[in-house]
Amino acid sequence: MKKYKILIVEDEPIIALNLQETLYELGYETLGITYNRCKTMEILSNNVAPDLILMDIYLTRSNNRN
Amino acid sequence: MAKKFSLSFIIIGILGIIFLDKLLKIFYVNNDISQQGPFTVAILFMISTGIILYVIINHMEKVIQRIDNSYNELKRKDKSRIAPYEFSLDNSVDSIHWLSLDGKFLYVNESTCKMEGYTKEEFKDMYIEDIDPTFDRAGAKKCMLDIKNTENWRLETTHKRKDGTIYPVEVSGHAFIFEGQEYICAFARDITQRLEDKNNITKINEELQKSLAEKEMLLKEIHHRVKNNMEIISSLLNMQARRSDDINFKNAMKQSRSRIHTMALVHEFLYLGENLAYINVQDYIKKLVQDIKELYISQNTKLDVDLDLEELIFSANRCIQVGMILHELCVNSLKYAFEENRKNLLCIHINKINENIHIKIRDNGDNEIDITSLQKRDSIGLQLIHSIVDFQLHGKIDFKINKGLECNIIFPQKEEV
Repeated sequence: MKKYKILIVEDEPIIALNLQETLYELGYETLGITYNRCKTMEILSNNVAPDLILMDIYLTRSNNRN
Repeated sequence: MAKKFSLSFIIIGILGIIFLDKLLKIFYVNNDISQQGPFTVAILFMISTGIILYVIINHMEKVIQRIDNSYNELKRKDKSRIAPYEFSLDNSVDSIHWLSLDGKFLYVNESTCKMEGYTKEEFKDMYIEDIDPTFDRAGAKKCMLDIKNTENWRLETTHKRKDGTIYPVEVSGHAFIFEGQEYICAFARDITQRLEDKNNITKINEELQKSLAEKEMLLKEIHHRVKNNMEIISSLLNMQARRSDDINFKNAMKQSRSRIHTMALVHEFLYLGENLAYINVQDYIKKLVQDIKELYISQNTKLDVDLDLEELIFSANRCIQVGMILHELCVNSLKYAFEENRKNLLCIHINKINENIHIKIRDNGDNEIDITSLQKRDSIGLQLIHSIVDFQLHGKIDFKINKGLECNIIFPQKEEV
């Protein structure tokens, strides 16, 4: 079975960590956690292709809905 | 004049008697005195005619004087009768004018003169288009016809004063017939101040709307923040529970998390909904029950939920109170009443009857329950339920066995401020 890779984009670290642990418990691999749009773009530009991105709609310090 | 004439008649007659008689005596000294007769009769006739004329004229004069007095009295009465109306017309805030059907001014009150800057004399040769620049001759005539044919005719237009300044007016016009002639009576009101006030109010309203929108946004932000913080607490509890092997601790954390979620859901509804103060109970309970089901029920457990929820609107506080009670009772049923491989049923009915809210929660669990133990406040769950019903909802709670456990709660709909 294919191991899906998931990227978490969330500006609340505790919520992000809990989500990462929950995904791990459910057997999913996470590519990591990014806290803002820039970091997310940086990861995505490094030829990393996540199968799924779990992203908070409202991220602080970013004017537009990501 | 006539009186003087008759008096002169009498005087001449008397003088005639005194002097003419003597002259005749001298003249006819040698003649027969009987020849004086006709003169004396003529003089007497003259005197009597003069007296009669004097009496008649005097009487006529008195009659004429009386008629004159009566006429003056009537005039005075008439004047005093119409004086209040004239006063009202002249002191009206509105410009009142009568026009002919071709738009010529026939009467204007004082206000018209003050408003337009013309005298009453000047108005006599003026037409409506002389003060309303929006009309030409044909337009003015058409307007008069419109007034004639329209009941409660109204128009917002502009008037031009003698000095050339233009100001807004609201005009109402009525057609009327007086002594067979058709007239237009129009009332014009200067609405400069009204329009200024309207603009100011619109401006203030816009500012208030902007301010309100900002406050709403801030309030939504706060609810969002509160919900987020609750989620952080919930995540912390979850992470803590994950690191423990104690099953009791894990369950306690799970229950605490779902209690926090019950409250967080209210804040989520507040910032996602259109109303920042009130929540649709139906939507909230549906979501709450769904979330509780997902958290506590395993995939193998079949559960039917019978929801009969009346369309009700609760405040955020009331929603949290009801949500907490429902959470405790639902979790109790899910934990103790329901099992795998059986048809589980959970009924939640919320109705309004006679200004009271009736909540019924029933499961179809078949394990034995000691009703009296539910009246006590041993567990946190029961403590929560009884405290909220007693102190916050000011209601009553009753447990009974009805093919499972049934709980009935009644509380007044009106919230205490």
